[in-house]
Amino acid sequence: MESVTAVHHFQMDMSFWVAITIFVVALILIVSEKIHKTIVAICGASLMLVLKIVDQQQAFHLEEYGVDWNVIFLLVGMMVIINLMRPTGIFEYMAIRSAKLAKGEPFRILIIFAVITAVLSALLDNVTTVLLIAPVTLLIADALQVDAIPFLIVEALSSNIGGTATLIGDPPNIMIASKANLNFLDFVVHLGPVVLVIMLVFLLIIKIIFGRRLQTKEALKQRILSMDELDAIKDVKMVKKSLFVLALVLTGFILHGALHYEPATVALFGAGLLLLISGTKEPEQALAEVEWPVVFFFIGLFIMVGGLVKVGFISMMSTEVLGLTEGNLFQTSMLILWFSAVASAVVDNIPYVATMNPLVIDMARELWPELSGNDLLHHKDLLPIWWSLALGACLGGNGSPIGASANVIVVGMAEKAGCRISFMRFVAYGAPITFVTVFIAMIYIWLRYYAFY
Amino acid sequence: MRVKEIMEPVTSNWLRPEQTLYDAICTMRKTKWEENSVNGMVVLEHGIQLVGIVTIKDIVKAIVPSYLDDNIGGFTWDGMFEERAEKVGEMLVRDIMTGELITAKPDDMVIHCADQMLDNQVQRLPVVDDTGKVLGIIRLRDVYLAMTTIVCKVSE
Repeated sequence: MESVTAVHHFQMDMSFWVAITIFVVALILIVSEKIHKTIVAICGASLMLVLKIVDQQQAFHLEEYGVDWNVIFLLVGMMVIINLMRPTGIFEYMAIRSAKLAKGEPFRILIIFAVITAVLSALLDNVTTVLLIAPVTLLIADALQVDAIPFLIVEALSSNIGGTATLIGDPPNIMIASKANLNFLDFVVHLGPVVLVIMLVFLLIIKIIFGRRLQTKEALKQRILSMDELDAIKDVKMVKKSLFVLALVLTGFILHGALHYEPATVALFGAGLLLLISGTKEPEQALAEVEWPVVFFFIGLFIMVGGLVKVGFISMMSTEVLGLTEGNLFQTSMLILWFSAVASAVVDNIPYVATMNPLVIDMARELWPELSGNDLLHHKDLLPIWWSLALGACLGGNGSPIGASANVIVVGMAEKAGCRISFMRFVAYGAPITFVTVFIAMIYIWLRYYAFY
Repeated sequence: MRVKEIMEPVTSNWLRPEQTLYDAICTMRKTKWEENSVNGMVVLEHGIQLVGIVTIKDIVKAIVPSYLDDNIGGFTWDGMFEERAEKVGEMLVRDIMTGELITAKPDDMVIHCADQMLDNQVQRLPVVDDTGKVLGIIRLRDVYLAMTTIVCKVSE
């Protein structure tokens, strides 16, 4: 994939201010939650088109100014696969089985569920993972008569940590991978180790906080032990088919760099194959359950950010950032890591990363004007910046209940089940964990990319 | 036939949104209409303003946890019903009531009312006058009883 280079000839004219106004107003509306974020994004994008900040040809067909279809089709493909897998009950089977392996001991269940959530989040998207694990968690907490809230918060945090490890784990990574032309293994190799360390430290912290607090009676543990996890499986044939396709898709992701496929190709192939072998005659449901609001949120944002790129606002900002750190790339990395963490805790990390991606590319162009394509995107001094952005944006999501979609879902499901997680209660766990995890990420980036060069 | 002729008048038989379900369930059990204990009551704020309605269906719904979806519906245990029932008692009327109601007017035709209940799949409608004051509640069962008096008179 060659990124299309556009000629920059802009000045701070009318369209410059119009584009910024549209974007800022949209951002305020998204944060205020007065209007649904998808509606805001679609309206903002259409305004960019109507006011001719970007024209439709650019918005639909130029990656630089418009929709990144890699991201869109990767999301849609994975969502279709999950929609077909969910009703089989395989995930609930895993959860109940592991709760039994933990012998109904609440603290062990907490740890095991944290690990399962992290691993699943690395392979599926975070929202799906928590949608699968939270109901089982509420059930088990009820059975054991323990407070479900620590479990739910730990799962939300784990899903964001686990999702950081892979290209498909978290939307920021999907977006970064596409823009920076990084493959699945790049993410595993560069982010995997630090996520492993972060997860271990996180589990240690959980042990210190909850190790003694979670207790239950022997009789209640029997409730868990007497459950038959096989009851969860609704369709054994479909379980086999979907596990086969999932394995194929994961293999595809691992090899996509070597085979020169985009991740979206792999996901779409998997979606098509599973639809075919599922034998369903009515694909409506699997397709209708794709989270279209999320997909259109991405589409709208890409076009809005495209407007900002086109009027030159993004390259102006990238010059500012480089000025701020005086071109020192270690400082730039650190700035991006911490700024991303804070920004992602406060606003949705999707618009944030959508804006930062072109900014990083612009920065690279300014630093190495003679390079282009992968020579530019994968410049050894630029890579740590991409990883800082990914780590900051993904881990920062843990900072508040609105920092990541998984958190929003968990809080919503908990409330529906009658255990309200207040904003501050989430922050009380989330903010310190975010600080510790980003701190570890900082040490990692310094050690791996700067200390010995 | 008009609604006001067959409705159950609302006098003291109503609930407050901040009441616990423990209170509400016991009140409903004690309140009788046409010799049966009632299956639903209006919820009034400050004793005047209609904010919702609570029926036994809403209460039974509250006992089934929201997380019991298709895949884990089978994972229950002995004693779950009793534990949940106690938990439900601690919930508030506000948490389970149905808001945004369809209402009837005292002078509405009963047949129009019946049509509305069927169309909206509800068993009862609060009867409200033009000033918004709740006068009564009309139930599907009241409509049926009114029918029986006509039908049975003819056949006898």
